[in-house]
Amino acid sequence: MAGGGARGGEGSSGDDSDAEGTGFGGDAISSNGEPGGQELGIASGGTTTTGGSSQGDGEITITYKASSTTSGEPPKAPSSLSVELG
Amino acid sequence: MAQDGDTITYTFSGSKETEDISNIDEIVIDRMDGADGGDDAYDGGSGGLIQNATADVSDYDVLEIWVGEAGEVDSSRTFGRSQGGVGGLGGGQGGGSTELVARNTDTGETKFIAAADAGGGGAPGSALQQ
Repeated sequence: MAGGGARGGEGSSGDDSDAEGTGFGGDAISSNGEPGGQELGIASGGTTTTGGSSQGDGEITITYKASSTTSGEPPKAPSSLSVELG
Repeated sequence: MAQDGDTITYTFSGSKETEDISNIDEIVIDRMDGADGGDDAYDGGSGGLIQNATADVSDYDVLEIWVGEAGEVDSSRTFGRSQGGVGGLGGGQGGGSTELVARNTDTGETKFIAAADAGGGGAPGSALQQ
């Protein structure tokens, strides 16, 4: 038997199930282990699939943004400009 | 301290990492890979995958980063915010969970951001003989 993958609760040891219900780590079944799932808390959007690391440890890449870059695109420059002289 | 425009990749270190996000309002999870389950006679499952998700973290000042450990064939539990299960009778370990948590150190409030779950361990050859 094999160990279950983890998320939220610890993976089960020595049996084929994960610790708890859906959204948790993959079961270790009697052949290949199942893939892990995903969960979003306050995060939203993007895509969630299986197919994360298949040969190693986890990994996270994050881009940080301050309010100056989260309020949308900057105003565009005018395409033409005319000046009237008095 | 994380700064506006920084893109940082966090890999497995064996312990929780923290990032000061006092100056940050939003994070983009460019890619979040869950750890692999341990192989034995059969392959461990691959981890979950999240790409291009965003989270408003303007109310928090610390980001907790948990990068899960891949399973092997071992008697110990794998590292993660939640540990993977130990393989019994030589089966592969489950991987440890990979998770992000935001924390406000003034109020003590924590908020779960996202998790890429770990794969389950692969079975030993003997399991198929039952």
